[in-house]
Amino acid sequence: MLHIYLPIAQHSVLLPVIIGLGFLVGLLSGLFGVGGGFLMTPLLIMIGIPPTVAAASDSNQIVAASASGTYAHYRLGNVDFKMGIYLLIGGVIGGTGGVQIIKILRQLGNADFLIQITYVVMLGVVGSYMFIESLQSLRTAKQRETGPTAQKQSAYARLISMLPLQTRFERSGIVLSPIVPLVLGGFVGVLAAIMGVGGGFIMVPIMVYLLRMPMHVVVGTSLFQILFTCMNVTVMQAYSNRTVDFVLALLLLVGSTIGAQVGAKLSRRLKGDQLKIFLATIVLIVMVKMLVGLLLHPHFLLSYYGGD
Amino acid sequence: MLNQKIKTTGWFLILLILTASAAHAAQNSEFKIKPNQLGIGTFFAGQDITLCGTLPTGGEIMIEVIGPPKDAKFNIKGRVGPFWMNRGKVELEKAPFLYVLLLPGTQKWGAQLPSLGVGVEHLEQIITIRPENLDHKMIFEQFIKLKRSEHLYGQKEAAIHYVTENQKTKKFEATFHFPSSTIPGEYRIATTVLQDNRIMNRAVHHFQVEEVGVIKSIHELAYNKELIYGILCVVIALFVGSVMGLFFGRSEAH
Repeated sequence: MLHIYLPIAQHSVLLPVIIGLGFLVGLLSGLFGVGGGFLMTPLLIMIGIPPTVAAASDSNQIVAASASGTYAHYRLGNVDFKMGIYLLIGGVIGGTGGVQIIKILRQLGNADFLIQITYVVMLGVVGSYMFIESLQSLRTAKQRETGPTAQKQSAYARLISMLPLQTRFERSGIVLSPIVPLVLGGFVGVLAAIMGVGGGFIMVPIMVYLLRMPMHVVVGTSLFQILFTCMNVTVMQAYSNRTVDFVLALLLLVGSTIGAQVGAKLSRRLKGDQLKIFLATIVLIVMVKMLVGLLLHPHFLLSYYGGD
Repeated sequence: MLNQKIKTTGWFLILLILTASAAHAAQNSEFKIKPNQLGIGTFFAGQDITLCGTLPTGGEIMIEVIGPPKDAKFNIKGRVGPFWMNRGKVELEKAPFLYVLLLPGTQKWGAQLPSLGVGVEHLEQIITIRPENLDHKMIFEQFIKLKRSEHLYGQKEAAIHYVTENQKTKKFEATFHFPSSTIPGEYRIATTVLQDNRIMNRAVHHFQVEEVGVIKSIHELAYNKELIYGILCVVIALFVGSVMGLFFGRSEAH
C-alpha cells in the first residue's frame, strides 16, 4: 500500500522514503539556496534508481523546489533578479562550453579521474574557506558591532572597481560591472557541465565572496538562477534521453516544496555566518565521502553506466 | 533355449513399455502458472506467482525464470595510483534482466548444474561481452555479483516441493516472487525434467508482464511524445511549487 511503481525508472519505491528525501533536500534548498543535486542523486541511486533517471528526475523536482523557494524569498525581498539574469546568461554560455570541454576530456581519456579530483579539490577548498571564514566572522561579531573598522581594499576589489559599465544592483546593495557576474556565471556553468551538477554549491560561495552579496540575497538569487537552469535540463533530458520519471519527481517535489518553505523560514532565524557554517559542513562531508570512495576498494568493480 | 529367448524378449518389452511410459509421462507432465500474466500498476510492490504441475514419481524438475534481455552497460573501475575510478566501459549483450533457478530440495545440485545447461554460471555461455579484449571471467563474475546483490539473479535450493499423487505421478509446486524492480516484457519460464539425473524433457512457457493503467499511460507519453512530456513535467512542477509557495505565504500572513 505504501509502495508506488515508477514508470520510467521501472522500480517500485516506498512512498515515505521518497517524500522524506524530497523534504530533506528541499530544506537544504530553502536554507542555503543550493539545488541539492549533489546530495539527492547519490541517495536515489542508493535506493535502486538508475543513475541517469535519478539525475534527470532530480532536475525536475528542483524546478518545483526552487520555484517554491524563489517565491518565498521574493516575498521576503531576497531575490536580486538583475544579478540573477546576468549569472544565468553566463551560466548558459558556460554550460554549453562545458559540454564541449567534457567531450574533449573523454576523448583524451581519464576524464572521470580529472572530474572527480576537481570535485574533491573544489569542495575541499570552498568548504574549508567558508567554514574558517564564517567561524572567524562569528567570533569577531561582537567587535564589529561596536563600530565598523576600516578595511584595506584588496587587489581583487580594486580590479573589479576598474571594470567598465559599473551598474548598481539595488537589491544586493552593490555597484559592479555586469562583466563580473557574466564571467563568474560562465565559470560555474563550465564546472557544472563538467561535474554534472546544477552548480548551486559553487555559485553560493562565489556570490558571497567574489560578488560580495549579502547572504540572504544570495540564497534567493541562487534559487532563481537554479530554477531556469533546471527547467532547461528537464526538457532536454525528457526529449533527448527519456530519463525524466515524472512520478518520482512528483513524489520528491511534494516533500521538497514543503522542505523549501520550512528552510526559507529557518534561514531567517539564523545569522548569515551560521548559514555559511552549516553549508560549509555539508560541502566538507560530501567531499570526505567522495575522497573515501576514491581511496577504498569498491565493493563492485562494475557500476551502471551513467553512475559514479 | 526358446524359453530363454521368450523371457529375454519379454523383459525387453516390459522395460521398453516402462521407459516409454515414463518418457510419455515426462513429456506430458502438466505445468501451470498462476496467475497467467502479471500487471504492473501504480501500487505494484512485487508479486508472487505459483508454478505447479505433475511429473513422473521418480522424476525431478528444475524451473528457470528468465527475464527479457536488457541493455547492460557498465563502467569498469580500476586503480590509478592510490585512487579507484572508472577506467572504461563494457557492454553485456543478451544478458537477461532477471534469472532465477528454482531447484527441488532432494539433493545438492550445485556440481551438476553446468552439465545440465542450467544455472547462473551457465549464463557465461549465452552472454556476449564487448569489447572483446577485456577480462571476460572477471567481468562476468562482477556482473553476477552485482545482479545477485540486486536479487535479480540467483539459485534457490529446496524451492520446489513434491506431493505424491499416485504410484505413477507426483505433484510439484513452487512460488516465485517477482521483485519490486520487475520490468515489463516477455519472461520465459523453462522447465527441465530429469529421470535418474538424465534430462527427459525440456519445455519453455511464456509469461507476460505488462504495465497497466496510469503507469502505462505515462510510459507511453514519455516515449512517444517526448517534448510534450518534458514541457508538461516542467509546467506541473512550476504549478506545484507556486501553489505550495502561495499556501505557505498565506498561512504565514495569517
